[in-house]
Amino acid sequence: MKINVLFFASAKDVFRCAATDVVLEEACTVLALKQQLASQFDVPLAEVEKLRASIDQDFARDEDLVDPQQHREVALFPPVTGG
Amino acid sequence: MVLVQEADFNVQALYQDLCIANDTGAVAMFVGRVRQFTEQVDQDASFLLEHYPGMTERNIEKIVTEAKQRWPLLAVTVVHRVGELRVDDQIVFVGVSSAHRAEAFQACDFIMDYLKSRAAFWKKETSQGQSHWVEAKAADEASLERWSK
Repeated sequence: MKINVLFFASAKDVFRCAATDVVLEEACTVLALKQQLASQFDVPLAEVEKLRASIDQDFARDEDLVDPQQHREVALFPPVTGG
Repeated sequence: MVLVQEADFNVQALYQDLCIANDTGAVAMFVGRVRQFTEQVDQDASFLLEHYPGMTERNIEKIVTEAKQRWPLLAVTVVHRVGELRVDDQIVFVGVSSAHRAEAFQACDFIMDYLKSRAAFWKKETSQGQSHWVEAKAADEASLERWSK
């Protein structure tokens, strides 16, 4: 199943694009998805590991599961700086 | 009311909207602005606010819901601008109305604290042709501890 991955702010610079698709056969953690993306985009893992994440627009932790049967969208971004 | 928009906002009009209920006894409002972020005045300095459409609004709605559960509020308005802004521009408006002042002050402070650390916005500063993403401050995250029950 296809998951849409979005990048915001400095994450766009890290991956040099705003979005990509990832095919997941089974559920994996946010951390595993970060590792897969780092390898796919040839980006240092340390740069990707420090990014925050969301799953279907809810903030997520590294240990949370991305389930291709349930979820459609993951985003990676640096800590927020609003207000 | 929660609005994420590029357009500027009119504080007087937002204030009037917060006063509709007859039992409004207090209105607390906060306006965040772009301050000069360079050491020397730079007329071309600009400031980009990026957001995650959909998620950002959900984040703010959640913060407002939490505030309404904590305090008896009559109305809450949050307007956050996105896009390119310049020094002296308004960025964010938080307005809270209630029967008495204590809950209005506290809820306004609470919402603003959570907006800093729990809403999907990112700032990028540009000055003299150089741009950088603003890093989150540990103090903003630490400030949330004030509200833990």
